[in-house]
Amino acid sequence: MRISTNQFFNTSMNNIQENQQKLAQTQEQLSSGKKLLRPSDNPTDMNRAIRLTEELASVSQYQRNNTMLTTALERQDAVLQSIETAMDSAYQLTLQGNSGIMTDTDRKILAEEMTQIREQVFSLMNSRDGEGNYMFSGSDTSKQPFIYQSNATVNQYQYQGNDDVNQIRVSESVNLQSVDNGKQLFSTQTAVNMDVSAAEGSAISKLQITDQTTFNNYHQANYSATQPFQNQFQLSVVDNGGQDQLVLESPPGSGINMLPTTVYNTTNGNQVSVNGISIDVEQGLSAGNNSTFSLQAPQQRNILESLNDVINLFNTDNPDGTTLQQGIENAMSEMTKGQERISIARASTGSRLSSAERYFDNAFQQRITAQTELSTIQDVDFAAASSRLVQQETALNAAFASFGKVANLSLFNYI
Amino acid sequence: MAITSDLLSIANSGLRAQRELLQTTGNNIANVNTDGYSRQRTSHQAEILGGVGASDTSRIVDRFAQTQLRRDTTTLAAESALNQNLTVLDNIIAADNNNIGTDISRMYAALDSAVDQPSSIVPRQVFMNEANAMLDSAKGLHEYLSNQAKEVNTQFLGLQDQANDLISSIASLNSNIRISGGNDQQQAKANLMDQRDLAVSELAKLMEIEVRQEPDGTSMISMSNGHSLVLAQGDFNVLTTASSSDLQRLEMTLVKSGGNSYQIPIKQQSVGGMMGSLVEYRDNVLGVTSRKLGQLTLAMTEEMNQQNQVGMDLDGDLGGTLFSRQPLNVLNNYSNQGRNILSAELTSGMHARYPEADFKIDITGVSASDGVNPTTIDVQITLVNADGSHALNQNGDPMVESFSGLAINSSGEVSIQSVHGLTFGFAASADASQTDADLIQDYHVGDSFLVQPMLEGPRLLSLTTQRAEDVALAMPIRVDEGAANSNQAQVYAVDVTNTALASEHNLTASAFDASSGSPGLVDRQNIPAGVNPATVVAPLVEDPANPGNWIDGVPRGVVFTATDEYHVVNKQGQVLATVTGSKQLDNLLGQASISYIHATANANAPTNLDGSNWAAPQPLPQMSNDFPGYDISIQGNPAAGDTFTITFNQNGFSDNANGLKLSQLQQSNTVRLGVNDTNSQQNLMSAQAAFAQMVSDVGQKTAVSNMSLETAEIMYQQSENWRDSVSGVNLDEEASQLIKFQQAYAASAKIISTAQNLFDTILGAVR
Repeated sequence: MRISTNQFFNTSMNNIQENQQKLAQTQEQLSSGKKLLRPSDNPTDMNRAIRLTEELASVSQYQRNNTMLTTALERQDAVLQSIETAMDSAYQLTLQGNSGIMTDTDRKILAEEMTQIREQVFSLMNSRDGEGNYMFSGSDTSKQPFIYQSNATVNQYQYQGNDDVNQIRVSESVNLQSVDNGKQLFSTQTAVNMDVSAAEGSAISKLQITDQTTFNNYHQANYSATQPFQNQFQLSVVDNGGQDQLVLESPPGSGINMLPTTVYNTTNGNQVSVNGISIDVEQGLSAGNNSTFSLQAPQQRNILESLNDVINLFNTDNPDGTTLQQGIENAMSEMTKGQERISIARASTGSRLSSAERYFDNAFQQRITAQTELSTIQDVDFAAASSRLVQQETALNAAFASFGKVANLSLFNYI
Repeated sequence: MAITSDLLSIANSGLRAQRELLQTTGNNIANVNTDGYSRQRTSHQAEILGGVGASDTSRIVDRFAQTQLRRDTTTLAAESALNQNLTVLDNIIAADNNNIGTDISRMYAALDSAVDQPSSIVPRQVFMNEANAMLDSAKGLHEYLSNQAKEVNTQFLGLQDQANDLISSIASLNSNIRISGGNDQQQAKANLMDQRDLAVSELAKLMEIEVRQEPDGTSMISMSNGHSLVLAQGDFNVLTTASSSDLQRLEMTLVKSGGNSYQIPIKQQSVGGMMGSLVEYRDNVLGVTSRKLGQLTLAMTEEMNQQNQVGMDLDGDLGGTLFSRQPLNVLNNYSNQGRNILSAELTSGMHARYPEADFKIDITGVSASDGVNPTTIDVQITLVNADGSHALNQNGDPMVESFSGLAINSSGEVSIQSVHGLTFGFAASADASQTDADLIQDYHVGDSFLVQPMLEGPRLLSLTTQRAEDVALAMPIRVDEGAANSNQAQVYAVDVTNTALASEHNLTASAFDASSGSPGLVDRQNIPAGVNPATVVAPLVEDPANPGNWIDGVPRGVVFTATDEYHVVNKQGQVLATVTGSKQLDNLLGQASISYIHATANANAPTNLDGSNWAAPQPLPQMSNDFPGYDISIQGNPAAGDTFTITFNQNGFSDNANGLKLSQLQQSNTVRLGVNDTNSQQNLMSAQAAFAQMVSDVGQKTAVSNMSLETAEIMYQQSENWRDSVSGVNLDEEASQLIKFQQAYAASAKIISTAQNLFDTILGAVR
């Protein structure tokens, strides 16, 4: 083929430029350490790289969340542990006070000690986190969760927070519960009672629970929240073949007498007991007289109430032996329930902590995997790139050298 | 006797011929570096009676090589112009300061920190700042893209001027070529043709052209779509452009120079060459990329708005929007006859349906009012791609929605709701009678409008608030378990779907209420001061225990009567509905499928608000489907008597339940992927995936362009080689010619001296 002079120059310049372009590209990769410099370098990898960067950012955030959660749960566990220890000693002291050889003074000393414990537990239950927010008041963290109301008749230690618990996100799809609320942690459903005030009629002079455990079992088995009628008792005097007899029915009119056949004693009245309830029947009743009373709805009480009950009992001068013993036993059963509740909460805190740790490790693994993949996608292989650089350099040198040689050839040099 | 040339005249003609040859060779050497120069050759013929005849100088040109080179010039110019622009965009789009994906990540990370400490103000503030930074990046990139589009249009106009200049100079060169042709002007003609060809190849860079060679050496030029540019007799046409109703586009026409005898509209895309590639870059790269950017930012921010609106902020108020949007621009076609009658808005909550496309709205029919019935119009809404073509659905059909018989109202706008996530409003008649003939002047068949929501994109957005408290991380409702609950069942999900407050006391939207000053749930016992109880409208439910009577219809709790049986109750504890045999305790209120109605104004308003039953309003106006706007789900085995009370989340400052839902939107699929207008997850992707896709789309286009450019370069080099190998000057060749002609010249001169010798010899012989 015929070659024109310009063609020769153009071809040489094109080749040199192409070599220079390749060399510049390799040099850019080497100096930046990245082979994925712009989307066109590999659109698919770029897409993946963007998603991986996003994943890395999310995963780091999950880890930060996780650290936060772990701190909160560890703080909760520490508080619960302190309360547990305090409750243990309170239990010991209560047990000590149950002894028959204790004098009023001895009990008052115990009461003093238990007051200290109550205050300690009260303060622990109102713990604040590092931010100064109350830990156990649900989502209303600016409000002190437990307050003492001296004028309250039933529960003097009242929970004022709400039922909310917060979740913290530890992975794309998993939220773990952060600290519990005070209601979950410290309230136990105990203290069931008879509604004495609701007793209608005048057949009963005294109604009391003498065996709380038996009564609690009965209450749990028979209380109906939806049908108040089922919770009613009726004590009546009936004429059974000329003889007055006491009949206790629940619900009234059921026809089943809960008492053994008891003849009514008109002059002295009777004392009957059933399911832990002791009833003193008035004297001088006649057939047709009756009284009704009902089971109270179960109450939620917290551990401070139980401690307070014991302190009040121990502070009483010349207590009635039975009342004291019964009161102490009730309080101990409540304290045991409260401690159970705290143990369960600690176990749950622990399991959440270990879940959190697991998710932290997962996130760590995920991060490493993502980083490795990202590096594979966008980081340059220095060895390969360096050898490519040398290769391209050689090619460019050759192009320069050959150009110089050939450009000098001209017929005009010879004529 | 025949006249024969004598030796002297033969020698003379030889000398002249060699001089001419040397002249041509010299010209070739001199023009070795002249652009577009084709080497020339001078040829002679022997005279019949001896001696050498007249010379003929012509260019050595292969017409096929020339045509091929011209085509490849067009391709190369187009590809390199496109590549040049794409390379710039390719470098910019993934640059750190434009990486909206990273910004989105940072925003959500900040949100997560705020969710971890919902009552702290600092992480909330950081989130607001990051959200603002994300908007700024999106706006920055959007501005860059739209400035590029403007820049491209300016470049296009520059190239068009250049093309018009070239067209006119080709026409005038043609004229000169036609009149030059005499023997003495042969070289001049060849040079003129070279110049003409150079101009043609310059024009070929700008646009795709066809060239027809005429026998007289002139060239007729036409566009690839057949329209003539350079005609015979020195006539030519030029291109003009005017702005169109679409701000990013131009209307192009072909007109006869020096007069407006005709105007032919030309599609910008059909021009080809550098001009065509600019249009392609503007429409298919800039247009598509900025629409994708707009789509992902608009969809993402709308989704976050929706979630924030069903939450409660740190002030204890119901959440508002985080991002506010300006109304969309409606572009009137410049040939419209009516006034501005159309408004358009993105429909709230329809973010998953926002398409990448533009909307073209045509008035296809207007039927004038007959004095009784109002004026009605027919409307057609078409989805249009970035390059102006119709968007096609999965079956390959254009996506067109038609609405007919739309009655124009006198009291307010008439709207078409939610066409692919857009709501259109048609202006009301100026005249209350609706029968005014003036109305007809506003609506004209053939008027059309263009709405480009995604192209406007991030420009429309700004933060609604700078106050960190306004991030609604808490749920507006809370469920409290009854004090006597068995604790065997817990609430595991509270969903709030609607907290919309309708106009004052008209509680048709949700059970949330702000009429008493601070937000809460509708409470009929809590009538704000100064409001006549008889005028308070409230949600009601027919009392199941006492049919025909109506009780307070705001569900405020659930009471279990068995593990799988419960009542939905109102605040007074009245049973609204009873569900039996519930297998799954999810969405307890929804399962009850209560029919809520509301008492409307005056006549139907209840008269007794003290808690006793209300008179039945007639007819029964239904509450919205979404009423009351919340629901609860329970897990475990509830015991009879377990109660779950729903209250407004008063003081729930540290609640983060809505924040968690906000944070999960990062992975939520919200951006419509394809043309299919289904809400299925397969057709949606997350905002960050959409961003990644947008970037890799530019990358893909650049990568393809890189390859095309390389191919075009090789093709160009080959055809240039072909042309050069035919028409290019080779100095070595010319050097040898130089020697050859020089020797011939010397030889011709020798003939003269020989003739002289002969003559002297004869003279000597006679002497």
